[in-house]
Amino acid sequence: MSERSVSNTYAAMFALIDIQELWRRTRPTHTLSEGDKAELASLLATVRAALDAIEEEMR
Amino acid sequence: MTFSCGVPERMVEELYLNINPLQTAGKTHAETRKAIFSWIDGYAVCDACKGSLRTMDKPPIRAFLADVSAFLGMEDAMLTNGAREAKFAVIHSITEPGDWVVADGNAHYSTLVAAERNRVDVVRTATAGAPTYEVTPEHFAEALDTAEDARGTPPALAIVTHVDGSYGNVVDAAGIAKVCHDRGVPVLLNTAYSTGRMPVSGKELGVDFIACSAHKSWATGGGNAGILALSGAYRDRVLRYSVDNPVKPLETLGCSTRGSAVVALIAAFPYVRERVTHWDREVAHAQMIVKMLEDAGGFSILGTRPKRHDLIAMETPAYDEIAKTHKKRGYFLARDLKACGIVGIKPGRTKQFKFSSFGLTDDQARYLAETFIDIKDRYDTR
Repeated sequence: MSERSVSNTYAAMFALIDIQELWRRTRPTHTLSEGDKAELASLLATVRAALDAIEEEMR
Repeated sequence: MTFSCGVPERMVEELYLNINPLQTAGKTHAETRKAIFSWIDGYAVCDACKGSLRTMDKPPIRAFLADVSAFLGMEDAMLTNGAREAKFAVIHSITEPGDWVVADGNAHYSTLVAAERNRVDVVRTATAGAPTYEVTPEHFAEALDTAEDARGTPPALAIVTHVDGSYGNVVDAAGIAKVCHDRGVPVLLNTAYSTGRMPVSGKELGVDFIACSAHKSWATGGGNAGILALSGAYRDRVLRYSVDNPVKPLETLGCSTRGSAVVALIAAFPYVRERVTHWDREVAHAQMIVKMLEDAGGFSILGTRPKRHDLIAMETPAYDEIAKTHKKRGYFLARDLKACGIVGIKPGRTKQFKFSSFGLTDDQARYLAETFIDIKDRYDTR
């Protein structure tokens, strides 16, 4: 494993913090606009890509 | 989820509209939480220490202090652990035991405790009393003149609460500073509820010191942080250094907020600098909420009118009537609000309470007012 995996861990955490911000912004109903949904999808993709990269290095 | 130590996770800011005045403007931005996450370890900020927190370039604390001095319209600044530590440092620097200081009638207890620890007496001004509790320059003039006549010496300092934490009154700080300066008394402005939320210029207000609370009003978390900004005239008296350890400022015992909170403050600063330019929107939200509640009946504002701050204190006889017969007594209100996704008022309070509308969107501000009214009407119609 390398520094790249550490960096990807941070990338995943930071994208999750951005998702946390989305919940904060839309409290208390969490009704998401189309823009919010697109942002959420993009952030989830970032998390997945970072985790995939860690998993790839582990193989 | 509960951590192994038994402390539960906290999801208050994600699940609810939190209207606790202590907390609304200390809520962190995502970029700040990322910075805290990276710098959370003890003494992490000291990786590239040059001997003093205030001269550190990595992270850029030295540059931040210069920027924040300019932002506050002052000539220098130092980090503290909070507004109370900033007030203590000023009192400690410019008074002697046995001196006296004057403070407004709405002063926070930490102002009084800071003076007590310095062994100086505090003379409080009067206020206008209920329902406005206003403090004016005339109140300061009266307290200064009366107490000086009785004590034979002028006060060493005037401590002025810019916005009090009970009623959200914004005082005429410039007018009070003039009254104090006309009598040769320096002025410390406690801005725990103002700087970081609204534009404040020490130069325009004519004050000598500004005490700030970063965890209360500068969107800073990860620990406690504050700022003491000062005019150049007092730099040498307050920002003095140890004889034996000449890089260590005495009033902060060398270094103050030496953890992730200072990085959080630096990370929050661009966001804070931008948000104070929207203060008119915050005031508009507060005024809208007050109008909706008073128009509905059973609610009455405490503090000065028109409302000029997000901290709103209300007398609520409508809720108090409901509490007399409700099986939950006064606790019904906090319970019903929580069921609607709103937290932050003290459970059991129905005669009067305070809340803050800071940081709400237009829709959230309207939802808050409508929910207060809906709860009142829910029981009125039974």
